[in-house]
Amino acid sequence: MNGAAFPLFLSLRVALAALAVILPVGLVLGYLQARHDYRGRWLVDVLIVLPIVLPPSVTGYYLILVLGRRGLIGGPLYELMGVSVIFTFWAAVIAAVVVSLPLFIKFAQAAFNGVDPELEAVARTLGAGPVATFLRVSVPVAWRGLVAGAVLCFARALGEFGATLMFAGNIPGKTNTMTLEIWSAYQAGDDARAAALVLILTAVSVAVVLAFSRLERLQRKDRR
Amino acid sequence: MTPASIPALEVDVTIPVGREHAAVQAHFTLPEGILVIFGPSGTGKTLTVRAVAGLVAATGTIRVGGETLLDAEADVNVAPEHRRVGYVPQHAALFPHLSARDNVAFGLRVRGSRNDSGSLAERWLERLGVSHLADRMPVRLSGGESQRVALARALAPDPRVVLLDEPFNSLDLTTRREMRRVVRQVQEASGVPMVFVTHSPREAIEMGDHLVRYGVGGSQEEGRPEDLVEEDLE
Repeated sequence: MNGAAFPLFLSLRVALAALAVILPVGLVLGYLQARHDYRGRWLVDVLIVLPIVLPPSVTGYYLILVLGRRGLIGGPLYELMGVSVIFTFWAAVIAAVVVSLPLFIKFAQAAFNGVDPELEAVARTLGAGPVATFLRVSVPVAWRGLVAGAVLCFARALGEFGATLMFAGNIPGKTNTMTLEIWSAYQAGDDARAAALVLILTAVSVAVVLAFSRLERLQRKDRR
Repeated sequence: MTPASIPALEVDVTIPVGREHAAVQAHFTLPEGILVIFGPSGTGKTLTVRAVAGLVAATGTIRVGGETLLDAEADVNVAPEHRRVGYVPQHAALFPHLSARDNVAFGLRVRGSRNDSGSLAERWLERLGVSHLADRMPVRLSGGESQRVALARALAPDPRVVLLDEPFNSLDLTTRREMRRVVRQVQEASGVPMVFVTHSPREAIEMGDHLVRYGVGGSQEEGRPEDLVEEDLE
């Protein structure tokens, strides 16, 4: 179909780039939230959940306040180094990260909560330091929950609309992801194009859900 | 074997338990062989072995074979991964994603001896009579088999002392009896000093060369097992 390839691959690239940021950050944060009791933990928990609850357009507005050209961080960044992320590919990635990272952290936290702390204790006595214990015991034991979280997170990033529209814009050939393109086509009265794009994105989402349910079946089989 | 003049294990620690409870005090020496920590639940037996392994915070001193693992005043507190103290918890805690062989090889691999870790692990499984289970995943092992693998895993990296925390609690009587014999045998053959936690007087007498009796209210007596738990037998 004419012109569907760019938005589709842009969406996939954005979601994959977001996932590359989310996985390491989310693994560490999810683990810390599951295992460590520290002062101000509740505050971190609130900050983690907030982007799940906030309307995406509100999240997008905050992103502009912080990273826009006159933003808290974006302002000095633009004036001193001439760097501006708003309305770029990276803005779309940042929007996707902010809305889907919390989802992954919650999944990771639940997965790590399911790991018997005694396994980690034994690993330490066997000579594994905290990092080796995390990589060789905690992550492999929790991996199914982690993969499930990553799959849903990818799907969420793929479907991101509100925050992306606010922060990355809807610039044809630059930041017009699938969801934005569907909106544009519909607004322009091009129903055929909108329907075709919807079908493609539906197919991708169904594939993700199928992969997810297959994983859950595997998990149940494994525990028997 | 540790020379007779240097005790295998010297413990003199205070372990904080939290605001509502009194701290656990532990003070004992193991010349060699097996030391049994005996007493009812809630008296701090598990906390004591976890402190020796470095898994819970404690103040005081811990020495293994003359080497200081903890000396709060001198600011020495060796991390668990550098203590070379083996640990067998109540429910074996085998790594569920690794076969029996890989469980035993774990401690050898994280310490960097990769080449022969598989065959070394197999030799330990053989010494514990479970070499035929090397490829099994932990879900497919019985309670007794799991504890044999857990013991092999604790012994494989050449520890200076092995701690067993009520390791036979979930086993049936016959398996328990069998496992007591296995542990004694392995201890005598390897010479690795062991600390064995139990609340069973029979197990205490059968396993221990030395015994520390933990009482409710923080009391502690040290001596020969047959002297200290005789009264509990009936």
